[in-house]
Amino acid sequence: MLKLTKIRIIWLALLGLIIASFLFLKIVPFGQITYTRTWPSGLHSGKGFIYDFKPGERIDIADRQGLRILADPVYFSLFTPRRFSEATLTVKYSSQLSTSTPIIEAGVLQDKVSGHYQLKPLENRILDRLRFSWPRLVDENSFLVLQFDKFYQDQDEFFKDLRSGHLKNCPVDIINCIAVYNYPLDLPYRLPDYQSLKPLTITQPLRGAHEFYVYFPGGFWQLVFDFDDLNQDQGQDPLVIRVTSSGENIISQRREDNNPYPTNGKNESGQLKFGGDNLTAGVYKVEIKASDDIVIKKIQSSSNKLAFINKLWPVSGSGELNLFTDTPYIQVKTFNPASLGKVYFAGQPFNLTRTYELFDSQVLGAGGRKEIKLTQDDVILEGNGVFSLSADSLFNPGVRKIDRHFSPDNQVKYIIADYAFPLREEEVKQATAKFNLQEVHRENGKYTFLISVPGLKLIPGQDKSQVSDYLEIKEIKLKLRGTTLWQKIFR
Amino acid sequence: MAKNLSLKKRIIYQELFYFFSVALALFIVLEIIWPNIILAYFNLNYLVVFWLLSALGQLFKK
Repeated sequence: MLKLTKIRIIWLALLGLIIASFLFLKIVPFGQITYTRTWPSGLHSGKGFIYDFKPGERIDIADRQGLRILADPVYFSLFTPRRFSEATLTVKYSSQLSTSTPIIEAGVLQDKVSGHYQLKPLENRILDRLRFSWPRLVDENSFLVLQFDKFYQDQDEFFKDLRSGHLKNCPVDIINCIAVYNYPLDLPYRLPDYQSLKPLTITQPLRGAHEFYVYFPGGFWQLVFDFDDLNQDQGQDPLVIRVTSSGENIISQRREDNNPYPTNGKNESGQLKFGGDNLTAGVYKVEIKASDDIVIKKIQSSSNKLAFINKLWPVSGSGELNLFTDTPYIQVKTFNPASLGKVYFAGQPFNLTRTYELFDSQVLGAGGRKEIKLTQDDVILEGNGVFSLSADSLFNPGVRKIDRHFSPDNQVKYIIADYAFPLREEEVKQATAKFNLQEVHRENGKYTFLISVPGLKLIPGQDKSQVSDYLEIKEIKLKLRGTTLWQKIFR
Repeated sequence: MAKNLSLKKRIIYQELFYFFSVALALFIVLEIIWPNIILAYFNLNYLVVFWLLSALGQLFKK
């Protein structure tokens, strides 16, 4: 009898120890934990923490030696038993990518409504190349400043000149001779004196999330947004509009969706108004965070210098539309079969032949303003620049960003980047990116990450085993940091 | 002697069955309270198999 009691005490203690271990791993009392996923994957019993790689048609694990990314982007989930404040992502990979896809980035979903990702670089072969061909003014940790020639010997002098808005060998405007990568650079923008400002009303409906620059001359300002909730999708469709200046929030408003499960499919209209009398003159960035169920029907602005950043989705079904842009290339996609057809970019036509597919058009070496002619709207236009609905609205106060189409021309004299080069061990490279998880989206205990290779595409109908351009992931490691149990208790 | 050995075996199967039953119940409760806390590390199907084997073992020993 005594023996039986002893046996029971032993297995109950063992069970208590197992439960305590699971609780320890749930609470993570020291605030730090690392989760890893490797290919080829060894024997493992649990579901793991890094999983749910999708969409399936963009990945291939047929040979089990690595996870092959065949098209851009690929998403995955990270399950965590609690919230963390910082993540360090380390990816080991071997690259079979061509020169047309020189950039690899990783990101974490920041905002579910607008689908915005916090993106960080893993590899940028344009910078890897320029680092050895251009003189390096700064190369410390991950901070890099390159110059076309040895214009500066001293970095303090360079930053002093940058702040004053006059750099050596930049005769016209320093915005034109700087390119940045993963580095927020806000330079003071001055509207040319000969340009006068007028009120502007945009009646072209725009669908989903957008961002735009608007220049206000100081004093009185006004922005009015008329919107429709189409109620085509089930679920919440909140609308958040935020006005910022140099990253600082000036004013924001949020409209909650009081009808998350619409049954009648009827549009619901609303209006958000912003304005005041004492705004400092300058450029403001306006972020419209909305799902694709929201259509901005009308924008009224007290200033006609208003240009959309990187993306525009005009939608009305009313036919032809002329737009203006400064982007050197555009990417066009539509979900609507009625919108298939010709698109003219800087006079050059190209055909939009399939829905749900991204089509590129590039005007090599063409800078400055260009016109886009759509035979039918309801297409998503994307590019590295700004878009506007009228020629005199177009202005770009932003610094040129290095993207996959970047090639250093005569204008660019300086490059500023926050980028750590990947380490190389034989054929396998290792790149690291840090993410701030404090305000990112987490649902059902999961963060959504992505790995992006801009420009990597699968040809429709192509067999996965025939693809020659791909990125093969060998290991994904996520080191997470957060508050410790003691900080939580005693704070 | 043989009878003693058989009794010992029966006790072991019985205790194993109790152990797996309590473990399974606790893990399911924990999984309901905090989803994925167990499944991320350990597939409960394995435990169900062991639990069934111990239950069958106990039945046959009886």
